[in-house]
Amino acid sequence: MKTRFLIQESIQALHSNLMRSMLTVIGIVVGIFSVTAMLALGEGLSSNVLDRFSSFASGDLSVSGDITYADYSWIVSQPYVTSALGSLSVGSTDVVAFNTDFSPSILSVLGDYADIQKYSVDEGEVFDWTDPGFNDLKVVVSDGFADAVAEDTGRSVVGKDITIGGTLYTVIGVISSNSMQYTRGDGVIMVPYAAAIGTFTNSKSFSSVAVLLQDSSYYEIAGQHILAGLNASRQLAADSEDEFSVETSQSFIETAQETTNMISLFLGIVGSIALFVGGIGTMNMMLTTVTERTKEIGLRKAVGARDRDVMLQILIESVVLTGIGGLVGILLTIVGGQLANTLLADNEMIKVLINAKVIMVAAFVSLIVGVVFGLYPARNAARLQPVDALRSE
Amino acid sequence: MTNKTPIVELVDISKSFFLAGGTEVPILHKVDLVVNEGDMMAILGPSGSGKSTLMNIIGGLDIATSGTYRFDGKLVNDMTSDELAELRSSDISFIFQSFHLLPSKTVYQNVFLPLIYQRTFTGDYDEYVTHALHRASLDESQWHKKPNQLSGGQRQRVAIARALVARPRLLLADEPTGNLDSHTGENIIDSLTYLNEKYGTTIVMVTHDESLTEVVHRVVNIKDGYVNESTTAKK
Repeated sequence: MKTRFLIQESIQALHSNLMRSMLTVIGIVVGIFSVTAMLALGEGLSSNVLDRFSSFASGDLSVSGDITYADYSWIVSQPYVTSALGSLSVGSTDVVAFNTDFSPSILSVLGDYADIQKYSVDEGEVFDWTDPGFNDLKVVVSDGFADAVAEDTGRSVVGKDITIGGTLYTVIGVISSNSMQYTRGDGVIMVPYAAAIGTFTNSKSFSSVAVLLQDSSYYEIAGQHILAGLNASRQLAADSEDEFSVETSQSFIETAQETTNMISLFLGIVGSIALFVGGIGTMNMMLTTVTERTKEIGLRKAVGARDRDVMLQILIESVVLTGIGGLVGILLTIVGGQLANTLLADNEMIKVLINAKVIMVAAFVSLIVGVVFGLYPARNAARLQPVDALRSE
Repeated sequence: MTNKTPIVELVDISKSFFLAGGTEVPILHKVDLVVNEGDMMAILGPSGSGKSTLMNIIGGLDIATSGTYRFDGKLVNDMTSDELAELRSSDISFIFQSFHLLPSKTVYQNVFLPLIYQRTFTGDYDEYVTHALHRASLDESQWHKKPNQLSGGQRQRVAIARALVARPRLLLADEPTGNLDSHTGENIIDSLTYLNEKYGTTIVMVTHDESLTEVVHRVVNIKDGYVNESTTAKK
């Protein structure tokens, strides 16, 4: 049987049972919409989380432990290291600006801040992050802190004095960066390394050093080398993690990716339940169709249809049904997704992301559902003996 | 018309049905029958005599329990389901008592149906369909009507056109006048006679209507599954 006749016959058969076909299609539309919407939500979540992890990620490696300035200098001197940024562990403290209390995070770093944490200067200027001797009572604040002060006091902090832990500091500039975007409380205040020691912390050691590599793909070897070097200076085994640990931002991202993949899978499974019900509806319709059309199938066989012709026709009817359902379901998800993204524009976590992958998966799944749930009715139809089928009532 | 080239050869054909408990119900007993190319034959018998079963076996819709069936010299007994479909598609057509037209299709589409299963068809589809419709004496005004808009006689003509469209060598008609009034029935028989005489189409009719013996070359009587050729053909 020629393919064009097969498709014509299938569509004609579906058309002659239009109401039943449409009801079956609705079942598939709901199923595909459900799967596609869940996949799109999962993709949105995945992309959102990865974006955030990527923006949080400081350099390629993060070395933790009690890292002295000498250790820091040794790390910076390695030929595969482009730049490094040491962070002091600074406790929280009271901050007062224009007689109003605020609770920002206090950070103190030394190194190539611009290289490792991308930021932009919104107002004023910044001090030299790489100067270990700079101990002026000057601070740089994040846009989050500047906004919080402006909101509560109606004034700009740039060029003004604020009190941090009872000491007056002058705010010389405002910066904004992705890594500061999601900080809790009233933004961030950056204190010079030398000024922080003895004021906010008694230790000169860094709690962590972020390292940017010349070639990010060698993060594992570079991490092992840095760990071994630091351990050697403490007479520890090369791979000991008693004093130091090296994490890679890549491993953070991979973990995040695995987590979001699991969430996507879970959402997909939840969505599949509706699709399964839709598929059962399709099978039910096709079984009813085969029973009702037994005599017709007998006639087709009597005029020369082979078993496979009959089987293919029923399968194509099933695939056409689920294919139309899939198409409508995908269109519905695209429209619904845009609507949801518009309505939830303020919500940073929920985002519906309908990409080519989601559409391809949905289209493929809708066709597969047609084949899987149409196979049993199609096989039943193909197995009918023409003489029995013609005799049926 | 008969040129004595056998197209159907049945030797010792028996057919039994088996009930659920395994009880055998014999329908045909060692039937020997030859149908020659160009024959117009009636298989005559009362209800339950096995004539429809015999027609189904000749048409490749059913398989004999034992015996040998050759169609144009080819052994049909051992044919696979696909080979039987091919035989029905290219060489054998049916006219059923209850027409078996598809109600959702037009007259034209019903007649077209056998052609869609022709694997090696190279002709002009429209030409074949219109030719068959003309041969069955169906007026062009009827071609795009649905079967439920037609009279019984017109429906039977559609069934005849559908049987002719693939240009079969053997046309099997099961009670072709069974559901028609006598006048319409006569017209249908006239059409079949015309097809046999003008185009040499081999026709085997299964019927209990003895009046048909007047228009056929050969009459085969069947009773309780036993067949014997009659000399009562009046033509």
